[in-house]
Parts: sequence; C-alpha cells; structure tokens
Amino acid sequence: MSAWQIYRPTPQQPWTQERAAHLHRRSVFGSTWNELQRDLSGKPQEAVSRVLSDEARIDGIPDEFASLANLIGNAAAVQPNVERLKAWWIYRILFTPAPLQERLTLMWHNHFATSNLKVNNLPFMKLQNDTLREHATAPFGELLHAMLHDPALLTWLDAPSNRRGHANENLSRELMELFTLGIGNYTEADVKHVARALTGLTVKEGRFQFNAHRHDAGEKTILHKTGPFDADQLADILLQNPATAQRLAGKLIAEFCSEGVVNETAHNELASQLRTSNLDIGKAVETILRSELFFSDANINSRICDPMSFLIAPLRALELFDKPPSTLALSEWLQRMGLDLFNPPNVAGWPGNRSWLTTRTVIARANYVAAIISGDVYRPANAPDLQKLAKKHSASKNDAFETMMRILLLGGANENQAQEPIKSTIDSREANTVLALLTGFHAHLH
Amino acid sequence: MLNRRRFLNQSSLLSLSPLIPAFLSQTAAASEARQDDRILVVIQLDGGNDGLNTVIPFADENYGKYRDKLRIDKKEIIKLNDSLGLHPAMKSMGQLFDDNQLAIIPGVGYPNPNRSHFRSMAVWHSARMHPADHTGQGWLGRACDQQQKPGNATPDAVFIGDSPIPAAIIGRRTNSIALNNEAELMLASKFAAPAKATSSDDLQAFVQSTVTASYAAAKRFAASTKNSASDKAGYPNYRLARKLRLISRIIRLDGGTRIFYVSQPGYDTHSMQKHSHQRLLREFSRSLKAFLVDLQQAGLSDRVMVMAFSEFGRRVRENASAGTDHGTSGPVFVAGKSVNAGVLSKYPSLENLEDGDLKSTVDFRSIYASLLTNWLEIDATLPLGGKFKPLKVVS
Repeated sequence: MSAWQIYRPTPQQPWTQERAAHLHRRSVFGSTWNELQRDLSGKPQEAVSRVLSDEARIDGIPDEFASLANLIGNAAAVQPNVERLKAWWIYRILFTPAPLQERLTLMWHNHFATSNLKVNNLPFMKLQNDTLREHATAPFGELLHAMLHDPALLTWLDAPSNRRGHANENLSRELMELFTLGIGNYTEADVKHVARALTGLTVKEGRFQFNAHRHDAGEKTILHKTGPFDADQLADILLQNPATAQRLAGKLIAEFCSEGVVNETAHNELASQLRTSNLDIGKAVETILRSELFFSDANINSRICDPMSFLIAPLRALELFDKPPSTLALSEWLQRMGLDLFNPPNVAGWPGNRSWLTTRTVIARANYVAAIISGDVYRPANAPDLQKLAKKHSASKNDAFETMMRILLLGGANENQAQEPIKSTIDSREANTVLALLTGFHAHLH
Repeated sequence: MLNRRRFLNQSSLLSLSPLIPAFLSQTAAASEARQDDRILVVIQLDGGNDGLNTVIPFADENYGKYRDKLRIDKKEIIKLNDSLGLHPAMKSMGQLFDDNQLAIIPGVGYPNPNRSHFRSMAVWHSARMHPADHTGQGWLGRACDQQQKPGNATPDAVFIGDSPIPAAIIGRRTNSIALNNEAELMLASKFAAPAKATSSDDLQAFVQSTVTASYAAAKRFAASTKNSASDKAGYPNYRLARKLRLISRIIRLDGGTRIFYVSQPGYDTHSMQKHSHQRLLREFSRSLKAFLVDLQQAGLSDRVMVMAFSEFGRRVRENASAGTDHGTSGPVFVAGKSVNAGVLSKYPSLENLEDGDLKSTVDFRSIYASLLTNWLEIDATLPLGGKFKPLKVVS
C-alpha cells in the first residue's frame, strides 16, 4: 500500500540506535542493551519480524515462563484479592517472550473495558484476560464473538437482565458505540433492535449460557437489514459495516503512531486493508510497524508514554530480572500512575494520551523512579547494582553509561535535558544518571 | 460516510473524558472556569448508624422503654429543641447547629427497606430501588455525566480512602479517582525542575509544562502540610479528620473537582455498642466541625456543603448483647454555611413502628434532589431516575 510503504534505511533516514529503540519502546515496552545491539546489527525489517514473531526479547525470560505464568495466574484467580491478579499480568508483561501480544491484550482490555468493581469475580476477569490474549492478533470477529460469550463482559454490561420484553440496552449501546461502529453510525432505533437480538445471553453457574426462553426471536431491523437476528448474526452485521474497520484502523494507529502522523489517506488505506482481510488485526499491526511512517522522524519520541511502558521499560533497560521487583509493589505504582488494571474508570476505558500526564501521575512517575533506584520496588528493599550493569556492558567510563541509558530510556532524546543538577542524596553516579533521565520531561514521551 | 475529520472529532469527544490530578488542572483556563463552582463532600457512615442514639427523641417515654442498657441519660443529651437532642459525644455538631451550619433530617429512608448492608447501600448509591438497576453507577456519577465538557481534565469526583471507589460517584463517563494518602501528592526525593517550556512543538510543550507544574505543585503541597494554616482549625487525631483535611488541602490548592467522598467505617454495632458508638460519633462530630472551621478560615465556606448518611438505621429495641441490629430509616446530616439549618423533618413515631423499625418520614431522594438542583445546580431527574420533590437543604 502506498501510504504504508515499507521502511528501508536511506541516508536521510538511516537505521540507527534511536530508530531501533523507537521500535522497542513503542511496541514491546523497551529492551535491554543486548537486544538493541542485536537489532541494530541487522536490518530494520528483521528487527520488526522479531517483534512480530515473538523473538524480540532475549534477556530475562524464565525457562519455564508459560508454566510459571499459568501457575501464578491460576492461583491468583482462586483467591479473593484482585491485587494478585494485577501482579500476575505485570509478571507476564515483564517476562513474556511475546510482549507485542501483551501490548495488544492491554489495548483490548481498554477497548472492551471491563471493571472487576462491578463484575466482582476474579475467575471471570482472568478468563476475559486470557481470551483477549488468545485473540489479540486474530481477525477481530473472533474476538468480538468471544466477547459476546464472555461472562465478565456480559455481567459488566447487564446482559443477564436483558430479556425478551424487558430490555436492558447497556450492552446494545456499548457494542455499537464503543466496540464496533462508533457514535454517529447507528440510530436509537438500532439500539433497541440490537438489544432484542442480544436477549438470552446470560451467565449461569460461572459460565456463559444462552437462555432460549429469554431470547426474542422476532424480526429486527438493524442498520437497514431485517431478520430474526441473534447475537452472532448481529455481530456479523456489525463486523461487515465499514465503520467498524474505520474505527479499528484508528484504534491501531492511535496505539502505535503519534498524533497527526497518519493522514486521512493512510487511515483509509489501513481501514480498507482491514476490510479486505477479514479485519485481521495482526496483519494491520504488521503494516504499521513495517512502515516508513512508523519509522519517520515525526513518529519518534512524539507520543505520551503510557503508564505500563513507563513501568516496564526501565526494569528491562536496567535488567532487573534475577530476583525481580515485587510485582505487587509494581501494581501499586502502576495504579498511582493512573492505570489500575481490571478497573478502568468507566466503560469507555482509559482515555490515554495526554490524560496520562497529570499532577498526581507525574509525581507518581518520579517517585517510582526513586523507588527503583533506592530498591523500594523490592520487598524487602534491595537497591540494584547499576555499576555492575555498567561494567557488564563496558560502560563504566566517562559518559558511556549515560549514553547507553539515554538510548534505552529516552530513545536518544537529549535536548534541554535536566539543566539543573539533580539534588539527590544518592551517591552512585549511575543511579543519579537514571534518576536524572527519568525525571526529566523526555521520559514521558516515547 | 465517516470521513477522517468527523472520525477524529468523534473520537476526541469519546476520549476526552478526564482523568487527572486532584489538585491541579492542566490549563489555567480550565481551572478558572470552575474556580467558583460549588462542592459537595459526602461522608458515608458505614455499617448502619444507630440513628435513635444519634438524634435522640428524649421527650418520648418510649425511648427509655426500648433502650435499657443503651439509654442515653437525658441530662447529658445535647438539646436541639424540647423533644430532640444529639448524643453527648456530638458537642461539636451541637455547636454547628447553634451556629446555623447544620441541618438534621430524621427519619430518612425509602419504601420497602432492605436490611442488607450491601443491598441498602446499593439503593443509596444508585438512587434506584430495584436490584436489577444496581448497575454499579450512582447518583453523583450520573449527575457528573450530564456535566461532561470536552477537554475537561479535572476529575469529577475524588474518593479519599483505600477501598474501592463507591458506586455513588461512578457514572457512564464520569471520571472518579481514589487517593489514599498525602504521600501520593508529594515527591519522594528532591528532583530538579526540568527546564521551562521552550519547545515550539505542542506536545513537547505540553509535557514540559505539565512536568514542571506538577513538581511545583508537589512542593506547594508539601509546604501546605507543614504550614499550620489547617492546623489552626484544630483537626483532631482521627482517620476521618485526616481525610477531610486532605480534601480541604486539595480544594485550597486548586479547584475543579466538585465531588469528594469519604467513608467512616465501624457503625455495625451489634454488641456492646455504648462505647464504640460514642467513639464513632465523637470522631464524626469533631472531624466535621474542624473541617468546616478550616474551610471558613480559608474563605471557602461559601463553596462547600457536606452531607452525611448511613445505609440504614438500627432497630428501635436494643438486642440482648447491648447492641442493635439492622433497622431501616435514620437521620441524614447536611452541614455548611449555606445550609437550611434546623431540624427539617418529623421524627418517626416510636408508637407506630413498622415491624419493630422506625417508619421513614422522608425519602432520601428528596435530599439528593435538593443537593443536585439547589446546590450543584444539576438537573436531578436522570441521576435519580425520576422526579422527587426537593426537601430544601440549601438556604
């Protein structure tokens, strides 16, 4: 596609440390120095391929990641404290060999934003999270159909009380406004008819159930089509509507590109690709990540760094893997930074972008960095040995450590950085470097 | 057909529901526009407050009949008039009453009362009677939904506490945040302020100014915790008082958020309640008074009103363990300089009980209606799911 032509290095846009770091920071929560050097020594499209095929990470992945993650997740789902489930997800994001999948799982959590505050059922929340992950890069229809059978989502949007003759329009409205078409692409009459098509979806004995007695099998007219539609037929009508592809394209662009970088033509082209590829999400993500647009100067360090990236990227850059920080502590920090997993602010999810940066969250970010340096993210506290890290990468002399960290933590940004000296009581030069880099304003862009 | 421009307009409307810091708006314009807005602080007395021993009908001989071990001595009761008085631990609120800063509304409840903490709290939070309508959204959340302005970056409601955000302040689009403690608003280390905004790039300038402003705000906040201005208000050493003091600091430092919510747990007094109830009421009463004094000193009393409620009252007759079991109606308090002070409703009859409980004389939604329409100036119909005649709590 013309607007999305593949990035090839040119003298004007060479393959540099900055561009490699950009790929990692935008798509997979940052990287270690070794991962960056490996990608830098090859071709950019090979680096993108590694991101897409879950080979981007080489450091810090536990041998038994899958079984460990399952063990932690299953244990978290059967105890009463949601904090443990949050900690499980953070564990996954920090250690998974498939970070792009986690990035997209997080995106879908924000799309089908469901809160345990109302669902109040950790096995349901865990199941939903697993389902989002399973279909993260699949054709969108698979995910949408799965969500219409998802106990957490159905509970969240009152589907069980939507019965024949007793409509509850909650799911109906959000299905069209937030999950597929977007506002302005349906009428209030559609909302009523869609609610009827959705009758009978319920949750019983901890599982999805279709209750035929409660289902309204009569004719409905939805988006100018008429028939005795049920939920799955309705979903197909919504999936085929061009507004859905357009909206998904916008969603993916917002996830990976900065404001204003993608013009209307490119947006339309991506939507068109989605329409002709059965709304294949993985393919659309590939189109974006391989593109010249994605690697263009305008797209680098020009998006607000989201809380999860701010949480994870420093841990990977500093290689805090052997004896990792407490994931429960990390979850608390993440909440202070404005991202309380399994508890979005409302059905529209986290608005993201500039709204991530507020007084409270900026203070939380600064304090989080201080907690990494002082070792307070560990329980018990345990300050990381950054001199050892510097030595490992032969970066003990002069500005070598700072140069390395500036690439990993800030994607190489360096203008106007920390003009005043840091007034810190910490006497490690490396620690002060990290503190200075991550409390300046460039740390909030990626 | 959806063109990009329209799409962007729509998605920005969708995505602009605010999520932000309690005490500093992102733009001066945003905070200026809201600086004079009125504020409602809700105190939730968790567990079911024993209303009969809070606002006491001391002149009614039935009171002594039902309350043996738990009877409050008439001499100690703080008299409001010749038939009603406050628990002796509520001296501070007695002073507020004398000072025309307190409205007392006895007998508040709703039809077919439910004695489950969970169900009854859901009724009070949602202002909806039917469990099917307890969808996790509440009257204040729905009220804020009607006030959503694109580009607004201030939280609509702030809950101070470490439990989940109460449904009362959750809406479809409303942004409510929880703050646990003051440390969340202070910097752990002395960070250098980044350079002043110099970038011509809009996003970079935004980040620069936000970071700079945030660090400055943290310093101001830290200074305000050392500054004795609010200490002069004489906050007692209670958890509720600390939460209210934090609210006062947030209101003082900026503006924008109109709804604050706190809870005071412990009112589920099934046994040996005499001392625990006394302690709770003393904490409630003294904390509330200190908060109002503090606001007055800060010149903010015109803008703030406080409402305190509990999910139900307790049974009229004490139980065999010198405690009380779950009942139905109970008193609601509204406090502040602009309140329609006095006793605003009829005390339920102790003769004519309903299944051993006080019959309610006021529907709680009529108090909500007044707070919404007369104080916050928000149409109450949608938040309350119908029209209710306001019981005028605003003077």
